[in-house]
Amino acid sequence: MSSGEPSALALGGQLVAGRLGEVHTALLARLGAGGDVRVDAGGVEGIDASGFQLLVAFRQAVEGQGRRCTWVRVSEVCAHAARRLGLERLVFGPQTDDARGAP
Amino acid sequence: MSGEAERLRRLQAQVFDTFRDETAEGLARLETQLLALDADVDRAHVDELFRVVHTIKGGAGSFGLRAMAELAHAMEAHLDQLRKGASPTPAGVAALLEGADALRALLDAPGDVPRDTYAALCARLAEASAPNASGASGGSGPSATPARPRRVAVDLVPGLDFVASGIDLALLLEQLAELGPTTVDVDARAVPPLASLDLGALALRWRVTVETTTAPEAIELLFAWLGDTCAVHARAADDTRPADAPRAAQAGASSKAAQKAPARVDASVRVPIEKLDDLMNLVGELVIAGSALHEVERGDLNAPDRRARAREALARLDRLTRGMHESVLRMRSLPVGLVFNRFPRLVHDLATRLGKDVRLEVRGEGTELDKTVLERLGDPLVHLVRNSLDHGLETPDARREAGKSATGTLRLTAEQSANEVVITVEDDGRGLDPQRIFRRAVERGLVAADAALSEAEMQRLILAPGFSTAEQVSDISGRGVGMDVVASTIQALGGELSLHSVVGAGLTVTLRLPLTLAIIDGQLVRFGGRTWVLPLGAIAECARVEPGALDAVLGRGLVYAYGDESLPVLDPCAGLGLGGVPPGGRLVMVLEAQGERVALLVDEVLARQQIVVKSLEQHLRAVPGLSGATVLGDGAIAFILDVPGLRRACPVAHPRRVASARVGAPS
Repeated sequence: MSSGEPSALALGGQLVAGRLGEVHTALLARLGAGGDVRVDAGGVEGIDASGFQLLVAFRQAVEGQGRRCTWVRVSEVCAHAARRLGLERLVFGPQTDDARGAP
Repeated sequence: MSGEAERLRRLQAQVFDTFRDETAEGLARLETQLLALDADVDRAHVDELFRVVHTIKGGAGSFGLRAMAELAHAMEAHLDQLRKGASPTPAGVAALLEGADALRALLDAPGDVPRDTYAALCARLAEASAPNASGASGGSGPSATPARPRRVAVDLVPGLDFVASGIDLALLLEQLAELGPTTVDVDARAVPPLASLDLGALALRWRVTVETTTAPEAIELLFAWLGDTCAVHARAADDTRPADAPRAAQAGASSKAAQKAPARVDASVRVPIEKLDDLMNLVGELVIAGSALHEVERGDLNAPDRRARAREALARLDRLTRGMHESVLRMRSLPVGLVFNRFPRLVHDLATRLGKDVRLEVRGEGTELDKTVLERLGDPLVHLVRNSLDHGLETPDARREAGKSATGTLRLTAEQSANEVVITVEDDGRGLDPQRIFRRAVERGLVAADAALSEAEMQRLILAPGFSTAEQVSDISGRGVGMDVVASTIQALGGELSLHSVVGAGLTVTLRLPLTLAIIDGQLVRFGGRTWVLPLGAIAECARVEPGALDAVLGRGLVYAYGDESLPVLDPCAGLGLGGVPPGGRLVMVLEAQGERVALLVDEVLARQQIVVKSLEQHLRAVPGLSGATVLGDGAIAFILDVPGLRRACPVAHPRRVASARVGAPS
């Protein structure tokens, strides 16, 4: 990570229906902070369609403000779930393969 | 449990209930279709079977019911062979029927079933599915030519309760992938801004393009069990017409208005839209009638026609209220076919076991009956059908000897007639043998050897508890229990049972059932310090007990003189567990049930009124003598007495428990 890059927003644990409130709040806070956003999803242990929808909404919000949203890590669980739901490109964009597992 | 978690749990239970209801219906259809497979095989028929099993498999998979999904998968694989042109074999059909039974068992107890519980059955299905297991063309005949795959676009639009339902959308996508190669596109345009995102609703929409031989309509059917939880719309991929899905998509979007949509109720009855329309029309008229009444109230107090107009408006309100009541009761109605559906299988199995050739004819399956009546009708009908097969219908040889066709006919018919539904169970077997009935009755001491019995008396004998003319007890029927229970059940439902037999030509059992049970005319009475309800139709007489009017018969207890008859006087307090409270014995009610009369001692006779019947809690259903309960005008609960049950439950009153002045000298 270069010193000019923003610190990554780390997501962890379960991003599943009924347990998204805290993540939603954190994403809103990060959105308000300005600048490009780097998301670290390496700690995600479980995620379902509503969890992905939250990430999609976040990404749309960031990019809607003319900022960039990139992923520094994606856990295997998260990547597998996205593949099963056909959401890889929508959530992570075309750089997913490069980002997966990257430190 | 938090409110949100509880809401989620309830919604998940509701979705599962829908799956269970639809699976039960699918299994009933499956069984009927499988039995028809014996004689008639066509592609559409097998396709229908395949669809039913595939839908069950999909639903079970989505709920994580692995044993059920795997069994359905094995059945589906076998049916797929039939779709490809293989001929059905008896072993294959038997395994499929066994599979249907097992699916039903799994549906009733979905939890804690190890995955390999049905491994042996799955193996048999697999064996029957092997290409060389049947006389199948195995894909070489013209019918086995596979259809050319085409691209079908399938839109999945989650509804408002999708997230709460707990259904894994990825499993739905995997089920589509089983139909052929897929590509998945997700549309996120309807996802609201992050700040206003509803975390409990999915606004993403999936479009899956699948290369498959399965028709779009068939794909929609596969997911029909999802209902409004997730709209599934399939069409040929080159069909440019807009998908129908937005209807549900709008529901899926998190608009506040949509979120106020009414929640589904716990116990559900599917109501055809025209019945709801009828009710809506009545409600509309009710509003108009209410306005007319307000007009009268607001008008000139001294107008000469004011009273007449008020009376007219009230009469209209009365009519509409009755109409609404009937309309709501009609919504509780379900087709008799739901009960009749079980008989093709039963008749098939029993006829095979008994070595008889029986053709079942079913008519009037669409006739509707109240849900409660229908639920309690199943067992009596099973008994009647078993009786017909076991005792009525003859073996092919015996039928030929009697000059009949080798195949016997059992006909189940339902039809509506005025305010009742008439169900008949009719066979062309040997009919009832009056001489044998009479002989058995004499042997059992029920009638004198020189008695001359009328047809009604003969019928009463047949319906007497424990009476049977069967020479041998079998596990099918003939234990001497049953016909009286059948008659009691029908009577408890407010209906009647009658028999018509022609020796050598057959027996017809006719059940007359009320269209609804929800309201009865009742007589309120008091005894044992409580208020009770007697069905008005069961009361033959109510009289004050004059001094000495009750006779004490040694060894038999009290009797009441009713015309030429001496009726046993029942002690309801002893029979209903109020033993410590002796009946005052001021009044006697003569009650009729199944052609027999009894007298019942009560303390007081109160009002006659229409009674709204409530069903009893499970633990009270076992109490003989009670058929239901009602809430009285003052909010008190009163039990509704079941006269045949009372006759069984209540002992004959002992002279010592009744005021001595009312009892004459022992005779």
